[in-house]
Amino acid sequence: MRFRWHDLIWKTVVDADGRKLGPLVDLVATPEGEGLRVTALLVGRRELLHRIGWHHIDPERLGRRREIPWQLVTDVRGAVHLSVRGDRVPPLRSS
Amino acid sequence: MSAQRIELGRHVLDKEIHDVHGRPCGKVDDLLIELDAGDAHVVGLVTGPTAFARAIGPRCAAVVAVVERLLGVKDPRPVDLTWSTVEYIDVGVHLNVAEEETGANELARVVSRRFISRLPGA
Amino acid sequence: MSVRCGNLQGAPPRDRTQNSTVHLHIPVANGKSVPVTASVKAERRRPWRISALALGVLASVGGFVDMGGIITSSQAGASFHYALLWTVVPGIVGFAVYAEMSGRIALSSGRATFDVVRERLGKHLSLIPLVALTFVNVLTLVVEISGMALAVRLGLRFLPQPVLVPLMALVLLVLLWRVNFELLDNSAALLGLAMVATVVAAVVLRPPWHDVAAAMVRPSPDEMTPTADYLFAGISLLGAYMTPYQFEFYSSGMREQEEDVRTNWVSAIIGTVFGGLITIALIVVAAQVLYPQHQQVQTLEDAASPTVSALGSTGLALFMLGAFAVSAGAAVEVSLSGAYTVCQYFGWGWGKKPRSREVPLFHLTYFVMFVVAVLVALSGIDPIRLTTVTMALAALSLPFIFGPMLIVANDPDYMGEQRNKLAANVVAMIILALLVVVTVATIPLLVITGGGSS
Repeated sequence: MRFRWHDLIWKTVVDADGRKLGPLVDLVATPEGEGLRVTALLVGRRELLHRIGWHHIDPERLGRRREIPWQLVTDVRGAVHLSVRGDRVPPLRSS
Repeated sequence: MSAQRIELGRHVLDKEIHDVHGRPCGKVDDLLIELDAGDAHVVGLVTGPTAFARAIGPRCAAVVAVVERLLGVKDPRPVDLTWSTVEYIDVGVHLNVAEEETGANELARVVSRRFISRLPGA
Repeated sequence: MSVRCGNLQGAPPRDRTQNSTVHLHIPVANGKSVPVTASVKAERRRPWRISALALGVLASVGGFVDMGGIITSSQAGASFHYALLWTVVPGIVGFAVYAEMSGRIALSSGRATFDVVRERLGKHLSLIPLVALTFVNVLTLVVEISGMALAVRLGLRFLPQPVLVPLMALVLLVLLWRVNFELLDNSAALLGLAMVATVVAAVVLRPPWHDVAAAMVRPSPDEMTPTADYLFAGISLLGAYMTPYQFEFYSSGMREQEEDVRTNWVSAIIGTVFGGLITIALIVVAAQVLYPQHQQVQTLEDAASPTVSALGSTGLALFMLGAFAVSAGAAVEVSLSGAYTVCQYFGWGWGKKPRSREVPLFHLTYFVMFVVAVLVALSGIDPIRLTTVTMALAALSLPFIFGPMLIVANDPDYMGEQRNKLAANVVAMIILALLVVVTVATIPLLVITGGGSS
């Protein structure tokens, strides 16, 4: 199944209980073979501030990010659905 | 050698694309992502005014298609570049092919042929 | 080899011979090894180039004083005496700080400002500055073309405006197409120095210099209560000092002419101070001659009249030449700048150096801008009124342009060691805060004052 970036991005990320975790703001990938393998999702509006580089100005408050492994994704139609409950999603981590 | 971490939105999207000779070929307007048995792979870049407009919204896409046709582009469509044509990424995305092979810059070619090169001194 | 896209990797060498380094590198093609830090443009440090410096200074003078500046400064002096002189200080500081910043972004990232802005903000967010800038650019082009026509009519009154406007646009287009751009811009800047006549006029008119100096550093509430008209005039002045196209023009010109950081900085400072002097002179002469007679500035003749009353027909000739040249220079710069912006946003080839057929969309963009500008100018809109409104809109658009610039200039991924120092950030933030206040205030003021139609 083929998707375009803009079809995926800004979709809401939903956990196994249907709880909303925030919008999908960016994808993390790593080179593999002829392409790039997507390894994780970056979720939440604060990621947007990260993207424009705010962490260089205010690293303390924005250093922590919500990064969810791609393996937890079960479906991307409608919203991005995860296979685990929100409390099992890896917590905010320091970058 | 540890795995390279690339944030797609931050490090790939919206970067300028250069061909093998360093000529500009537009921006990375969109990415093609293949979902397959739980894995997701980026398989290509999408560029061109149509790709840009589609990412902005359907109304914008319609307007841009009309403008492109008016300027003389026969079949305005997004240009897909497979990931294997990407040589490396730094401040821009550098391809290992020439611009003519990619079909990017169709709008520029048409405008050049129909208008600019007809002016004296072009 | 790991790719960290933060500030750890690829810190540029301390060696000052290289001031332009990529701070991010991701080799992706099938295990090919590519250097982690690639030098885009390893630039040798050059000795002072007096010619480059002189040209930079001239360009900054030309940037600071244009038709917008002539009209808004004269109006400020005529209507509010010295009470708006203080705006020159934030105007100069803001212009110098952001012009330098935009030049530095171009030099250290190896790319022009709008290229980086789109990448950093993404296509959606960066659409806001693109649209704001393009809109103001087209209006500014209308102002400058009309200004050229008005300047010609100062001496040759029998030529009608509707004939002169398309003629001026056509002449500019042909010159832009055929003549070396640097030659064009530099001769315009050089001729624009005729505006120094207003400085001479200011000296001849013997204003109370002590009061002038005092008004420079403090808004004079005893002289003028801040009415809506006063605030609107102040906003237009700020927009005229810092007309948005200048910053993009500056950074793109830097990419085309391969300037170095030091020349960039010094020429921005000297040129701006010099331009500031001419602006102060315009306000002062209008305050000396027009304010006592309660004469408003409604035509370019009104703006010229103080200089004429001080220097006679020589004054008129110099003012006419100067106003024509600075408008022509600004028209050239704003049209190129507008085309740079659009092309950099979409990743199209741009510049005056490549052959025209290789960058067709660049040329198409400024052709279209000229056509739109001429149509607007011929629509019967009052050019002086349009000037004040355009300058207010310019001020309104500035936060959308300065904000992204500030973000990029603080990003070590692009800037390396050349990223903003604390002092630059503090000054830049103060100017930005002032402009945000101005932006919030402009829309209601546009409504209340009806676009400055006092």
